[in-house]
Amino acid sequence: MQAGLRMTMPTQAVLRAFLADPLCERYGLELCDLAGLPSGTLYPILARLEQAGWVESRWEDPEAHVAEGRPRRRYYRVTTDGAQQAREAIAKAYRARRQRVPGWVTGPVGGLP
Amino acid sequence: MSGHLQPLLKAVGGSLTGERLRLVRRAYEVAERWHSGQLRRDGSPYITHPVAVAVILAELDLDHEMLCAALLHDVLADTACPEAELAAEFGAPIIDLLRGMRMLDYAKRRPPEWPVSTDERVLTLKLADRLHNQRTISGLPEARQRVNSQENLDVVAPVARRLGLTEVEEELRRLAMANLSGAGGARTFFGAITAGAIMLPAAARARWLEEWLGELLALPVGRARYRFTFRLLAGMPRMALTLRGQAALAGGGRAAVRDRRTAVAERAAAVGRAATRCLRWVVRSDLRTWALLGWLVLDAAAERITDAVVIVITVPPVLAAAVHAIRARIGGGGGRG
Repeated sequence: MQAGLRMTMPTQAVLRAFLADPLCERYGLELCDLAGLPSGTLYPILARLEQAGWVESRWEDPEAHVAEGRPRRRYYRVTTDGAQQAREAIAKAYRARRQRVPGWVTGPVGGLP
Repeated sequence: MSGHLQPLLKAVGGSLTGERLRLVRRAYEVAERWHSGQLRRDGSPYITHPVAVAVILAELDLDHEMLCAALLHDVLADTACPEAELAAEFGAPIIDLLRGMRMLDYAKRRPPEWPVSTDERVLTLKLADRLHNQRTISGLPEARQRVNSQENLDVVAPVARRLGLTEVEEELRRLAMANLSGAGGARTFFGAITAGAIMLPAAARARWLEEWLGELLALPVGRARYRFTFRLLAGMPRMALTLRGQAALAGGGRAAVRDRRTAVAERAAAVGRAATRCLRWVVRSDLRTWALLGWLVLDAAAERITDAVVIVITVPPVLAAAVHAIRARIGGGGGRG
């Protein structure tokens, strides 16, 4: 399953939003804001992450939304296993990105050690 | 006098005869007499509601007892009709259904676990009742509309799913969501999202639509809703691919038990044919071809802006040549130029 997850920049942004506070449950709009992504990009990513088991979701409890008179929300949370794999995948993607730049580009000019 | 019964007789067709048909007609007469003078909120005679509920049940091929109970379902609650009178004429099974329905009438009287504990036939009757009320909900005050629609989404539709009444579930959800979107002033936006969601696999559609309705109504009126809807629609093909990939994986697992190769080959052939048809339809008009290019660019831009730039530079000449070639092959004389 993990092999099917491409670590695109938006996917990484969503995972970072989750990892910022792994225990917190978040709904779609909140994640759009946190990850800085439009709705049409976010939901396919959520569907993929859920499919891979990195993220789980549930409907909001009835008391909360009935009191506020609005339809229920779908809440997403990163799974324990998913958090671990997400951290590794992000680190790997980060290393891969840095290696692609040849040393002479960043070496003398860039501040990156 | 039996003018309002016509829709039911039409729905029943020739499936009821003799004593059973007589009992249904009799139930209608009794209900019509007790409800006479009563009106629905939209001004139509009250009897049209029990008849419509019975029609829903007849379309589900349910038996004459259920039809009688549907016709009589509000007589005990809303008129002075004594229960003993109905019991003497219609017998225990029908009266039990009516009593079961009355138990569900008031939130205070029904047990909290009613969706599970109630008899399945009573639940089916209740579902038909809720469905017709949702269809005719515009007669209610707005606050009531919202509460009822929400309850239909949260509680009633899942009951329909559990009982295997998928058509009832689907219609109930569709109407309830449309009503809620209208109450929140987002009818047009949600209509567009619903239309776009046709691409999604049917089994997953309701869950995502409900989620998006919630998000849409939580947004402030105006630009934010417009942007949410537009972006969501642009991402819909991607969403469909993701969800269909999921379904194909699950289907692939099942197919392995039978003969995996044939199943996969058949599916590939079907997908191929559909893709060819789709391609033909797209290239037959310039407008649709440009829309395809536009969507490619938007979709790529969502992931990475450089991809979008590359597509804008490279694809148009290739696309033009390809469209030209394809039109020549399919003899595209019917193109819009």
